[in-house]
Amino acid sequence: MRTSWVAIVVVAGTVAACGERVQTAGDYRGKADAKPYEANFGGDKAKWEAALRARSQNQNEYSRVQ
Amino acid sequence: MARMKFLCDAERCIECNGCVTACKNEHETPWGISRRRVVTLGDGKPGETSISVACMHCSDAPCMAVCPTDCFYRTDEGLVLHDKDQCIGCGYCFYACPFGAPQFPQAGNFGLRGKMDKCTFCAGGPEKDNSEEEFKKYGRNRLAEGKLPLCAEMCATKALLAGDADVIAEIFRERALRRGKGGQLWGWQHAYGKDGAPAPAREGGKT
Repeated sequence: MRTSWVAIVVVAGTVAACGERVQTAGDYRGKADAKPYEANFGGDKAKWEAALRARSQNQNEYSRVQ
Repeated sequence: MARMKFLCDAERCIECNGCVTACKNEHETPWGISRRRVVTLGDGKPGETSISVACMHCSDAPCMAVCPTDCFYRTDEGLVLHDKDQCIGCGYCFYACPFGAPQFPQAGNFGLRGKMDKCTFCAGGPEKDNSEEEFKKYGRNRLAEGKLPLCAEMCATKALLAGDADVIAEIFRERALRRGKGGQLWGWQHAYGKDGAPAPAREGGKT
């Protein structure tokens, strides 16, 4: 009985180091950043998105040559 | 808007390094720092392929997970940016990044590492937008000006696409359908997972 208890303790102690802890990012500790549409678009997100969308289509030559 | 992503069309990249030059010039990065580079596989052999590589702004960014000072944050647009004032230049992010994006300038003699520098998707960092301070630390903030990253806008063959994921995926889809081949997206699954679902913005940063 005593031998089996010792065996259990030894096995438990041995495999305890084999576990892997979950790695998650901690909370951001730096400075806050402004929204990209605040400086030049007066906080108008829709206007900023429309500007980017129009710009994105410059990458599509199929729509450019139509 | 879904989220910002890079997409490199390996069928179109001609290894001209225009993206590398555009990035370096736009952000005036110091000697030895190259936020973007072109990788060629099977160089000189039939079927060689070139890909433009920089920070992919991963959904589940490993750099963010390993940073001991928690200097990374994710914006609402899905960009992974960092605060250089928090960075200690330990280099953990370099080892964690599957794309080799983090760069370290030499900060002194004996190979002393400076603060990490990487592609910001031309979105600057946590300083006043379009300020001199922001430019010095993170480069130009084109996104705040309603512009896309210069590497993609300057790409002569439009191999490198940048912008809203839905928009550039549609451009690429149409292109791949028309030519009937080359529909593989290099690095997308690695960076954005199978479904490409956006990770939530990290709390603490304003964005």
